[in-house]
Amino acid sequence: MRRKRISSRDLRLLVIFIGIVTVVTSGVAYRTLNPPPSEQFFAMWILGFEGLAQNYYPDDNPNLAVGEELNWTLGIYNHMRSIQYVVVRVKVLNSTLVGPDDLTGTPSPITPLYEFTRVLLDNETWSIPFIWNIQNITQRGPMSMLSGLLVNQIPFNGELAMAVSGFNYRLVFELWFYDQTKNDLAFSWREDDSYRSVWTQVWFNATTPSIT
Amino acid sequence: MIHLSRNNLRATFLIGFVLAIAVLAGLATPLAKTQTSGDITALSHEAFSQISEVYRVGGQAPELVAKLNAALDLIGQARLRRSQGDETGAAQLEQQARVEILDIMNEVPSAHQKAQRDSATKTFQIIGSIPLVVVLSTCIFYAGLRTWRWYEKTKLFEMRIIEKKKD
Repeated sequence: MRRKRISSRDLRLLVIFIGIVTVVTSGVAYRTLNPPPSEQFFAMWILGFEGLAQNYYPDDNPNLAVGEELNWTLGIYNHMRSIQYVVVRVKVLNSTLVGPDDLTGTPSPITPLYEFTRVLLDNETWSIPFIWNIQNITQRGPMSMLSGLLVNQIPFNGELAMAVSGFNYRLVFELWFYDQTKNDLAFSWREDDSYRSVWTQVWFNATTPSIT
Repeated sequence: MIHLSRNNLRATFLIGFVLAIAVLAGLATPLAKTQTSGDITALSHEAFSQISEVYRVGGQAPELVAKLNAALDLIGQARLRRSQGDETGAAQLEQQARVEILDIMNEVPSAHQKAQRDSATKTFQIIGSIPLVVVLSTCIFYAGLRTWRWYEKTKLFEMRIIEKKKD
């Protein structure tokens, strides 16, 4: 019986092939077990009526009257490559009160009006309905004091913010997250020798006393 | 005179004692409130850290995350009740949240073990698949090579020498 023997040329080809396949398969296995790092970020946005990035105010008029309802949706997206404990802090400011600072990564020093808290999985998006209206404005000479807000059917009363003639109030939404190394909530994190923080704001005027 | 002084001293001591108790009670109540509220938040942070560790080792625990989110909702509601002056309702909600969170923390060790097991199995499967892929692809390559050689040989046998006719 004639035995089929592999030629030395074919053997060499086979050895080269096995080498290449081993290297390629090992590389694929390594990449599967250790995926390459991608950019880490949070995203936050506010949508107006009908979930669009427009029509934030009734009739596109930022001069809001007492009792006029605004229906917004707040969105948060987690792309930090891990689960995150996030807190959205809502603050009422005027144009002169200190807001958050991107450069220094510091939040606004104003006490939050309200907080939304949730644990987000990686790549998860969280939509928060934010339905609000002004409940009360108090006049103090040329100044208007915003003294009552209703957010998601929860009333907030007190001296919330003061503005000249009721112009240039703003609702600031700050995104905080639980930093396990600091064992506390943090507003910003360092990346590429700079601070990263996530916040957004919408301006409005409270110049009209009530709905006509 | 001395008798009167003693009475006065006793009365002063009693008043002082009652006042001290009142002040301490007054101090203790807001302290207890803060402690309860801060306590439950710290507990939620602790639960989050433990779940986060499960994910870090490559596991998945969406049911624990959902439970923690439910507990966080309760904490938020409790905070609101407290701000509206409903201390009893707030305490009840916080107690519910605490039970939920402790329940989560009890479930975390088994989830962590499962995550480690799953991670080890995944690593083993991926590394184990390397020789399998190499052997399989080598066999296919070898079969292809043999076919090519056979094809070359048959072509060689079919070869004919054709002489060009000369005029």
